[in-house]
Parts: sequence; C-alpha cells; structure tokens
Amino acid sequence: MTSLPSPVTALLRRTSAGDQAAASELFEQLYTDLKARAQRVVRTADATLQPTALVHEAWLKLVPERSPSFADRTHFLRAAAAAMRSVLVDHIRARRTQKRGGDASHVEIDMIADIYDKRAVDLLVLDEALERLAKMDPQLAQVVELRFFAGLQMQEIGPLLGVSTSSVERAWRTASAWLRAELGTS
Amino acid sequence: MTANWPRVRALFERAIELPSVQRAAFLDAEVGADAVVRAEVERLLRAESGQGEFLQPPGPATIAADILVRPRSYERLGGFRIVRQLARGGMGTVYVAEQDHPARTVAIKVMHGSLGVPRARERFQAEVDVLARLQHAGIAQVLEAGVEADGTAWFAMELLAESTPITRHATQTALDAKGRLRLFLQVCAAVHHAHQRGVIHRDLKPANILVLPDGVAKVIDFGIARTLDADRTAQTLAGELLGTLAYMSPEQVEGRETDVRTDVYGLGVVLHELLTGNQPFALAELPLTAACRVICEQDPPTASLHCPGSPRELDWILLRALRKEPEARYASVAEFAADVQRFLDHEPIQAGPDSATYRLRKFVRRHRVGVSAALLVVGVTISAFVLVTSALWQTQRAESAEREGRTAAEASAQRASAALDFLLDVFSSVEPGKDGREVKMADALQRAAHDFGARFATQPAIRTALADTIGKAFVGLGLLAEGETHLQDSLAVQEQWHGPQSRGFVQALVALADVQVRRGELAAAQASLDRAEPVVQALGDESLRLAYGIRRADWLRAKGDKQPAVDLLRPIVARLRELHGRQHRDTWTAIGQLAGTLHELGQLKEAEPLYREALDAIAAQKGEDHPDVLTARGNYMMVLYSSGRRADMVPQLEQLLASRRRVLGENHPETIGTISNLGGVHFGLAHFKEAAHYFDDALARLGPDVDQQSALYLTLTANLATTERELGHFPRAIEFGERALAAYTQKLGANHDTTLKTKQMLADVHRQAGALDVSIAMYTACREAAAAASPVQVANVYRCELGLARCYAAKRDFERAEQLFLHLRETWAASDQANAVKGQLTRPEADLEVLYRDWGRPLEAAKYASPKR
Repeated sequence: MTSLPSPVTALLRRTSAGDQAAASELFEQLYTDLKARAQRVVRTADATLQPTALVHEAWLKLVPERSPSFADRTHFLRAAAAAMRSVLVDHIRARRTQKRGGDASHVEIDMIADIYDKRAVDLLVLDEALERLAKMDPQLAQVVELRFFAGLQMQEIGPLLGVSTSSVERAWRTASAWLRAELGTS
Repeated sequence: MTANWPRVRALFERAIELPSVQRAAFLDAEVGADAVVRAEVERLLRAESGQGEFLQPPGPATIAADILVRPRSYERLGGFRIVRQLARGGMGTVYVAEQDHPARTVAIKVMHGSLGVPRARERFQAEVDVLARLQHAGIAQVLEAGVEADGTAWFAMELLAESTPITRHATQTALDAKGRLRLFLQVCAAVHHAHQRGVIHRDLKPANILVLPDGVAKVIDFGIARTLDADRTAQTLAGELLGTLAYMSPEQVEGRETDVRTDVYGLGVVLHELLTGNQPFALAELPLTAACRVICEQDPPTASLHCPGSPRELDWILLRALRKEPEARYASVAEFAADVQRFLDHEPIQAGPDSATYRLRKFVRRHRVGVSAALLVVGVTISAFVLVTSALWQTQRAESAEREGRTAAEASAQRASAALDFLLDVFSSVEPGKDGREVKMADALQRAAHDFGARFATQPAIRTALADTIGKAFVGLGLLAEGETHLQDSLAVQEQWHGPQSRGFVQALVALADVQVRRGELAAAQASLDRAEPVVQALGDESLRLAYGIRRADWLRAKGDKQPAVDLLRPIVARLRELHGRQHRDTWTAIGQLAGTLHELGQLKEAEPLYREALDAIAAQKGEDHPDVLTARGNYMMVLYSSGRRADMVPQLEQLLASRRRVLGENHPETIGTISNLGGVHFGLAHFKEAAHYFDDALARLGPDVDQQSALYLTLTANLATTERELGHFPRAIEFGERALAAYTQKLGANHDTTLKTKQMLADVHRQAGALDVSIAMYTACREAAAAASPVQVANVYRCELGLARCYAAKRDFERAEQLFLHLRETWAASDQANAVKGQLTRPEADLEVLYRDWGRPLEAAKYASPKR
C-alpha cells in the first residue's frame, strides 16, 4: 500500500494515528458518497442493494482506483473498518466530555455516530469490550469490526480473513453472543 | 477466574447448533467438572438468543432517513417569528411561530427539500390558496404559505395546542370500540367535505389526524402531498415514502392515478389501527421494495385475527375499504361512513364476506403478478389441481345425478370444493415477501401433506390430485426428496384406484421419473420408465408418448448416453412444434433438453439458438421473473460462455444471481448453481481467489447434509480442488480432490471417464506439491484404466502420460521424460481435427523446450521454442 500513495490511504493512515483533522476529512468524503447513494436507494427503491451494503459501498468507492489487487483491498478494508471505529468512538467520547456544540463540520459524524451508538447500546462500552475480546480472540474482534463498522457481508469477510463464509458466520454469532453478555443486552 | 477461551468458544459453537432442549445434556457430557467453563458457555448461550438492531450495520433506509431529512434552521418565515420546533416528520418540520398582526400563535410546517423552478412555486401557491378556502370544524385551517429564496416551502396553519394523534388519543382516554367508531365518523365527515370541494388528502394517517383535549378530531396537511407533486425532489420523496408507506394505497405505491378511493383506503388503514392497535401489514422490518409488494399484493388479515371476538361485520367493512382495486372499495368516504354508521345502529351492512369465486380469482391474480416465485410454482400446480377437481366434479355430478339424484350430486360438489378450500387455506397462511419464505412455503406444504391423507382418505381422486399437486410443488421449491415421496404416494393411489393400465398411472410414473433423474437416482428412474413404456405404447396417446420420450431422453442424458438422447429428442421436438407450437410447456421443455444435451456434447452452434428459442418461449409465457425463465436464462448464458463470449459475463451472472436470490431464496439449488457458475466464470478469467470464494460459498450453502451424489456437490468439490491448486494451496486442493474422487467413484464407478479425469487431476496436485512418487503411482494406475476402457478414453490417457512425463522431468529422469513427450507429440499430431485431444489438451512442445534446457541441450531446446516467446 505504501507504493500507492493516494489522498484516501494517507488519510486513513493519519486517522489511525489519531489525527482528528484527517478523520473529519475522511468522513466528509465518505459522507458525500453515502448521501448520493442514500438518494439513489430511495429514488429507485433498489432491492438488489443489500441492507448492509450502504456504508460498505461508500467505503469501497474510496478504495484507491489503481489498487485492484486483493491484498490492497484487504488492507484497505481492514484499515477502513478500524478508522470508522476510531472516528466514531472518538467523536462520541469528545461529545460526552465537552458540551455538545453546534460545530457544523461535525454534523455528519454526529449523525452517523448516533446511528451506531444506538445499535451498539453504548459505543464506548462496546469499544472497550472489543479491546478485551481482541486480546482473547483477535479473529472475533476483527469480524465484528469488518461487519459492524465497515458494513461488510459475511461472504466478503471470509476472503479477507482467509476463512470460509460459514466460519465467519460462526465467529460472528459467537462474538455477538459474547458482546451481548458483556454489554448486558440480552 | 477466566475460563479457557478456546474451549469455551468450541463448546459454544457446537452447543448452539443443537436444539435448546438438548444443550444441557450436551454440556453434561462434554464439560466434565470445569464449572467455570460451563458457566461461561451458558452465559453465552443465554446472550445469543437476543434480537434486534444490536450490532447490525445500519441499512439504507435508516441512513437515508437521517441523511436526507436534516432540518435547516430559520428565524423568520414570512410575517412569522419561529419560536420553537414542535415535531419533525417525514415531509417537514413543524414549528410554533408567532405573528404580530394579527397577534396570534400558529403552527408552521417547513417542507423538506426545495422547490426549484418558478412554475413549481406558483403551483404551490395556487394549491395552498385552494386549501385556505377549505373551512370545516374537522380540518385544521391553513392560514398562509410562502416559498423562501432558497426554495424552501412552508405554510402556516391553525395551532392545535395539546392535540394528540387519533390512535394515541383513543388509547390514552381508553375509548371503547363504539367511541372509536364515532370518532372515526367525525374524521370521515371532514374528509368527505374536502372531497366535495375537489381536494383529496392522499396522506391520511394517525399523525395527520389530531384530536384536541375536547375530543374534536382535526385533519391536518390536506392535499400537501399534491402541492409538491410534480417537482418532488428525492428528499421529499424519501421522507414521504419512509414515513407513510404503511398508509399508502396500492395505486399510490405503483404510481397510478389516485382519487377519492385512495383516501377510502387510507381511512381503512387508520380504522384498522384504531380498532386493533396494529396496521394491517407489518412493514417495518421489510426492505422498501418488499414492503411495496406486500401493499400491492398481500391480502390484509382480518381485524378479528388481531382482536378475537371483534364482530365479523367490522372485518368485512375493513376488507372492503382495503381492497387492492379501487373499484372494489367503497366508492366514496360517505359510503364507507354510512356502513360504519349502519353497524353502530345494528342495521345490515353493505359489505359482505368474499365469495368463493372472488377468492379464487384473487389467488390466481396474485400468482400471475408473481408475488413470490415459490408461491407461483404452487399457484400453477394449484390451477392444475382446480382443473382436475372441477372435471372430477362434473363427472361425479353426472354420474351421481343418474344414480342417486340431485342430493348426492350436491354432496360431491361440496366435497370437491372442500378440497379446494383446504388447499387455499394452507397456501394463504404463507406470507410471501419475507425472508426464508421458501422455508415457510415448505412448512405449509408439510402441513398440507400431513393433513390431507386423513381428510380425504375415502376420496381417492381428490387424494391423488392433492398428492400430485403437493409433490410437484415440493419439486418446484427444490425439495426433491419430499417431492418424490408425494409423487410416489400419488402413484400408489393411481395404481390402486385406476389400475396400472390407466393414463393417470403413466402420468404419475413419468412425473416420478423426472424427479428421480433430478435426484440422480438413475436406476430408480429407469425402473419407472420401463414400467411406463408398455402402457404408453398400449394407450396410443401421442401427447403422452412424447412426454414419456422427453423423460426417457432426460434419463439417457443423465447417465451419459448423450448422443442417443439427442437422437431421441430431435423427432420429439419436431413433432411437438407441429402439434402444439413452441408456446406449449412440453415443447419448450423438449427444446431446452435438446439444447442442454447438445451443449454437453460440445455442439455449441446448434445449442445456442435452441436455448434462445426455449428462453423466449418461456419468458413470453411466464414473465421474466419466473424460476423456469431464470433457469433458461442461466443455461443460455452458460452456452454463450462456452462459446467464448465472456465479456460482461460476470455482471450478467451477478444480476441473475440477484434475481434468483430474490425469487428463489438464498439456498435454493438453482441459486447455489448460479453461485457455482460465477465461480466457474471467474476461474475461466483466471480470478482464482474469487473463484474459490464462490465455490466455497456454494459448497457451504449446500449444508452438512448434502447429498454427495448430487451433481452440484461433485462439480463443486472438483472445481475447488482445481482452483485451490491454481492458488498453490495444495493441502486444500488434495482434500477437495479426494472428496470429489470418492464421490465420483461411488456414483459413476472407478473407471468412468469423469472419475479418472478427477483422479488424474488429483495426481497433478500431488505432482505440483512435490510428492512425485505418489503422483507417478496415481498417473500409472489411471492411465491403465483409461487405456483399458471401452472405448479408450483418449483424453485421459494423454493427460496421464503428460503428467507422468512431467514427473520424470522433475525427477531429472530426462530419457524417460523425453521418450514420453515425443510420443505425446506424435499422438497429438496423429489425432484428427475433430478429436477431443486436439481441442482440449496441451501440446507437449513447451515441455520439451524446458526439458532440453534443464538437460543442458540448448540447441534442441531452441527447436521447440515457440516463435512468439
């Protein structure tokens, strides 16, 4: 990937190093595409678009065009999932420590973070639980990251991790049971 | 404290596969004394059962709703000062606002999205002027409207302080059923008033029907949907759809013309919710298109289903208001209200229960639109069933009229109609459009199968017709084993009641042979066909003879006698074209069969137009989404692929896959077949990773109980072996190769062409993995068997020899390698143009070049160097 310098990959790298400005910029790019896709979904009521595909497709759109190879895609999607997670978690954390401000540039993150927060019961608690899970069973944590944060489907995660779809499904079931138990949502 | 995680995970993943009642016993047996591990596994098992949105990535609807409907903020609009936000809905955001002259507090609705062109603004103003003239105690008064410079449209209306949506009001004030109906009549009066002035609401829903603390109902947002109509942007459309889908009439969903009966429908939904607490359809969890389909095609359940004890008359009233066809509804809101009023006054109502004819017509209509292909398959068989029973009913009536007079005739008519009712009941309990519908369909069939034997035990004609219907429906759903069981049953009843010389008996045999061939039970299929043959000849019925011939050819093809199958099919196809034309089911089946067999024989030029012909005929008859059409399309694409036309094949197949997923479900054999074909196409394009992914996916979908004799299992394991070999994953390649070899050996015998080809492929893998001696032994055995076969399997002999030569070369046994390669070169040169060897196999020249180079004989190597390289 270092051989393919591109704005998005650079942003991803800076984001994972904790660069907030890069995170915002990355999100803006993601959001622009999300919005276009959301409009298309509603306009065409397109059934072939799977329910989970939206975020994921938006991410894929950002994959550097000249990196068609599987290894690059894998690397990119993993990095994207991790970036998505850290952006959302940092945002929620910042929002809770400071007073909620009306900063226009964060409106987009705000919205997506809310959606995710609602679905995770509490995104910060989930984040900590995922840390613990990763120490115990890195594969499970990776599956959750790719599925939940990057919106990938089971069939897409398999090849990324080099396992079959059914192993991914098993891993997902185990991981979500463990997280439910940890988060007390059942 | 921390339990051993790998152990916990392994136990959990095994336990979760078990029915919940068996889990405790499983843990007793497996865990032993480790209480910490057991406690952890149990904790996970408890947690697993949870449902809901937890950790589900958000879908398009959620994101679309949030992204597209973001409010802007305004301080002033027209002469009004915004005070605070009151509510945010699908179409707009409502604010409380104040006006100085006259001094009053109003509600202002700011529409989402914007009006672009000036004409749209003018029209908005004109529409609002009409609304402002609507004056009725039950309608919230529109006061003023405007469009801002940025295109934002707004209007001010009477502020309804402390009002609540009608449904919530009814709950909060614990209104009884009569009270609810009276409240509803108020709403009808208001809506009717507007209708008389030419204004249709088009968006009636509880959120738009507010009740003030004094119990007065006020309808808001009259005609607003219309004011923005022609220039609706995606934004407003989004909000509108997402917010009000449940209350939209079929004609709105389909974008057809709306009129007052659209409001009749909307009011019907509101009344349903008011009386039962639920909307007629549960749409919340469905994707948009599926929800639209439910609205347009699914009949609402009766209100009394939600509320046991609710009077039948209310069911009838609601069903009348909620009819899919506007002309079947109340013609006006006034008529609707009058029926409700009659009910309150204990007078006979106008609406009544559905007639039997209406139900049947509805059923057929539903299947023709193609709600769900699974239902459609059944629908077709049911129509066939209806024909059978009605014919039966006619004969029985005639017979018994002679014998016993009218009463008995009536009784047998009732019996036939009871059988029909039974089937319709079973199938209408299946809800189309939900995930896993083919499973539900299968459940319904199982239930039907379970019940009907007992119910119609004394009525063989009905029983066999039902068994036949159910059997074919199972086959249509891809559940071949169940299908066979019921076809066997039908056959037994036919034999017992009509005898082994009857037409019905032969038809049952032919249907049975069809499913047996599909299941790969070739011996059983042969037995069925052999039993049928003398009767077919004796009966002298040409259609029957042709149908029988198609199955016989099908069987020949399956067992590998492809040329005889083609020879048998050609005259059948010709005769069927003459007899029935190509639009007949038997004709296109035979054409498709002939095309498929020619395809397998490699005669692509002849196969292609035949496939096309079959595809067009089926599509013209059944519509694009019918499962049979998808099958034909898949076949046609595969022949194009085989002819080397590979451009765009991946997107086309992906599209076909999407259709099959939608129509047939995720795990239908044909869906899996398409996944497998996608793998094959990727393989052909040298996308091995993608190919392995699709093959893996297809194999996983076949499930653990897969029939290892099935063609798909065999193809997939063999393809996976080849693909993994290309990827250099030799252990996996060997694993799959061995699975394929074992299955082929069992199914086709050790010396069958395909078995030996698989064995040779496995030897290739061993060779590439470096196990040369294993490989040599396998090639040698394989070569001998192929040479001893009759006729000699030329291609297999050639491939084994090539593999052997390469082994020798790798072992640096150059003389033996050279000898073999030169021999192969002669074989290749001597084989004639049409010979399989020439078309399919690798020439040995490149190998010879490498051999001589490794051997240190560059001059000879140069002789074999390809001029291009």
